Amino acid sequence: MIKKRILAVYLLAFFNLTGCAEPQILEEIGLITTIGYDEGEKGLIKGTAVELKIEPDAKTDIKIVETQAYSVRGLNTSANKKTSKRLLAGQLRVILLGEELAHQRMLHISDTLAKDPAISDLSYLSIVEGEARDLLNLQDPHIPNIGLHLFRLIEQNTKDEIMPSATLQEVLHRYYSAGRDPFIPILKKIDNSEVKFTGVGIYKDDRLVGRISTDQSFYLKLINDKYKAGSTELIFMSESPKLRGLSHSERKTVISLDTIHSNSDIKLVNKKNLEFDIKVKLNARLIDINSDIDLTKSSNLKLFEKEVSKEMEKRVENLIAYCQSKNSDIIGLGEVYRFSVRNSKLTKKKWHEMYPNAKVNVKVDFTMMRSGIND
Amino acid sequence: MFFKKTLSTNKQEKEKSKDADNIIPTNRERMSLEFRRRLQNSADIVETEVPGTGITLFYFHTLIDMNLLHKDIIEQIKNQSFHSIENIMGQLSVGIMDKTNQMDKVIQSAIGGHVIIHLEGADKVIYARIASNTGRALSNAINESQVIGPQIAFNESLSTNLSLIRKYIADPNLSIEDIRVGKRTTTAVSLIHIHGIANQQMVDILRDRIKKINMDGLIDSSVLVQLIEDNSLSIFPQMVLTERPDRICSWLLMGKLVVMVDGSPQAIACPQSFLEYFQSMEDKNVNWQVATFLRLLRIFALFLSVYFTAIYVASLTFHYEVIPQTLLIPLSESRARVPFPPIMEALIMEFFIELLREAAARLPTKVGQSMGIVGGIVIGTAAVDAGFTSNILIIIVALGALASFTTPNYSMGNIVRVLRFPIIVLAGFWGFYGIMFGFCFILIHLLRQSSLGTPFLTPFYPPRLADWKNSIIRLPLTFTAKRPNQTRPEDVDKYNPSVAKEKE
Repeated sequence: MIKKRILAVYLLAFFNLTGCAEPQILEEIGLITTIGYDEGEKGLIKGTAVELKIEPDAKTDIKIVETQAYSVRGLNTSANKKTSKRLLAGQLRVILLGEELAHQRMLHISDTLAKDPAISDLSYLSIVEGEARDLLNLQDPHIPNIGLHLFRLIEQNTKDEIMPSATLQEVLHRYYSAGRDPFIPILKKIDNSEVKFTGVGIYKDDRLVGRISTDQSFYLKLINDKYKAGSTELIFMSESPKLRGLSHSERKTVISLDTIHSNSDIKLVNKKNLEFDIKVKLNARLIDINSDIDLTKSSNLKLFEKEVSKEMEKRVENLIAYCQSKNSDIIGLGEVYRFSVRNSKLTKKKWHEMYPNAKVNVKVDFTMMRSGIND
Repeated sequence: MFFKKTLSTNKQEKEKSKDADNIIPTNRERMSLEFRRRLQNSADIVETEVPGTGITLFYFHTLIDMNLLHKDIIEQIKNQSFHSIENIMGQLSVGIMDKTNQMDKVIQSAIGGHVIIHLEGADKVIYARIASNTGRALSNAINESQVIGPQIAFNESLSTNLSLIRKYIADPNLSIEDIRVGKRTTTAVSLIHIHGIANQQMVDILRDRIKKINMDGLIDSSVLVQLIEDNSLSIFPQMVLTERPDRICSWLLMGKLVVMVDGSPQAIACPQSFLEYFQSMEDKNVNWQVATFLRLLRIFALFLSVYFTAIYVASLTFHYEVIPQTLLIPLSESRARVPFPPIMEALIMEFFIELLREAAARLPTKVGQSMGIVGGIVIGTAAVDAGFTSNILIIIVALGALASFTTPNYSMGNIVRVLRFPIIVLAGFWGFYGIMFGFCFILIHLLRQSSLGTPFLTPFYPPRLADWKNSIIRLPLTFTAKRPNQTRPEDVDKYNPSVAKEKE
């Protein structure tokens, strides 16, 4: 008797708890795979959604739905009025923010999206130079599905360590962490047929304050993260005549590095007069160089490594100087400060007062693993 | 008190008179009458008088070997005169015989294939066993076939089966116990174990269970299993049936108990764990890497078979988020033509496959082949063309069916097939919650089962790390020197492990 009662309780709990499961049958819903937000008139948000709409007889698999509303959720409701299938965002992979909107309302939008349990926190965020709507309406015979194309583009570049990763979760984490500011990569439509990764937008709190180039984003990742198989091209004016490039008009040295392994270490060395040491260890394979230096000689190799290290140091310093001038701590020095100083009670505001005056010493230690050049 | 006493005296008197009835008559006519009366005047009773001796033979001609009767009995005693039955016994060259004065015993022996030798005037009769062997010859194992290893299978004769086991295990400790089950059939049931390895307590429990059976008849061991299982209400069998003598012998050596039923080609072995249903005898015969691979494959197939269709239904009905983006387009394209919701679609397809399988199993072998063609065409292409189902589901259902065939044990394979349906229904109504509910339900049920008192999910629950060496993986023989904890063997070591690792 008791057993039966327990069973009944379990069953009741089961039916009650799962009663909310609402059927969303695949072919009866419209799947939003990419969504773009733009600033509209009078505080409206213009939403452009790429809907994956499967009709066996239709030529394309996607449909662009454009709507306007005052809130993110409102967009969904008004978009539904235009479609034959209920729009759901569970397959959302890429969120695009128009340039204008990215300045002010990034946080509002990503916060709202993150609150929706159906939306993956691993969706990629991107800023669009110009309007997101414009980019999503790109017409090219080789890009039949712009949503999938964007997702693949971002994913491929993030995995190849060219683009710094900015998923919804990462951006919000960087925003909410005291002593760190978010950054979001920037995409641009070129000639109505291509999309290109053109830079990284950097934030102070939730305001877009500046941008760094794609080259600089390499150094951002170098300090921030580890490289496992990165690659880069370095063009610089060498002090040593041995390294001067032959092909370049200004005799600049052009080198190409591959299979980059790196790790970085940031240390707080002075708590009072804020001073950080950034040490980066980096080894890579040289795959191309435009000078005729003989790298089999150890003196030449040392020279080469020193020059490259110096150049990289300079670039990292430049990057940090730029970020400090914009008061945007995308590297996360504040976090280092926070866990190095006991009871620092760091707040975002406090950190933004301290950060621009911090001194940062950069040390890059570059080692060439293999030259890969035939002797 | 008083009544009791009278009752008991009555009883004693009755027994006395019964005893008197039970004494065989010395007179031939009366013996004949009594014999026929007790055996319902059956048409196959034969009464032969051996000329010139005063001896009469009573027997069922359907049960005995007539050649032996002539050669070993009639030839030996005809035209001689005997004074006592002991004289006759001296003349006969039959291996199994004895004498009795009890009519009950006479009747029992006659049914069991004995010939009754009655000497006029003697107060006892001889019963000699010359039973005929009707049955088929030993043949290959069909239901549990394997490539490497012995091919022979048990047949319906208990004595043949026992001789097969004796041949494999020439150990004086091999104990075969005879128990009779069934009031009417009095079927011979043998309880087999190796004394000194098998746990004596388990032997006692099993013997007790078999002895307590109160049935009119027992035809097959598969019925006996249902009677002596720990929980016969469970869908999972807790004792295994096998037709392979090599398997039985290897289990006996592990310390398991075996029950065989006369007339049944399948032996019962216990205690048995859930995992062992997914092990095949061949795992022992191939090298350990291959065996491990095959075992992992079968476990994977088990999950595939039970859950794959359900996951399809759940993700299409509720959780479109989990579908990989590359799969979205082909999935929705094939689904777009189907008029049913996913759960109906899946149930229809599973039903198709089950129909096909059941039809193929019931059909004569010659016609069975055409089933493959019908199934291939109807289910493979026509159903999709007709917009009846999506082609991705066909792949999933076919995979699930295929995976269920990899289960080496037929009865467990059936269960894997049946379990799919409730899980699909749960998935169709409650998505992944439903699947999880079903999974937990099955898991908890399995946790609660036992086989002859040992936990059904051993060695995982309760964890017996030493037994993991031979569970879903199989380590080399040098690693498995100990008998499994599951059987609680009285002799733990199979061999001395330190010696085994030395190689010449």
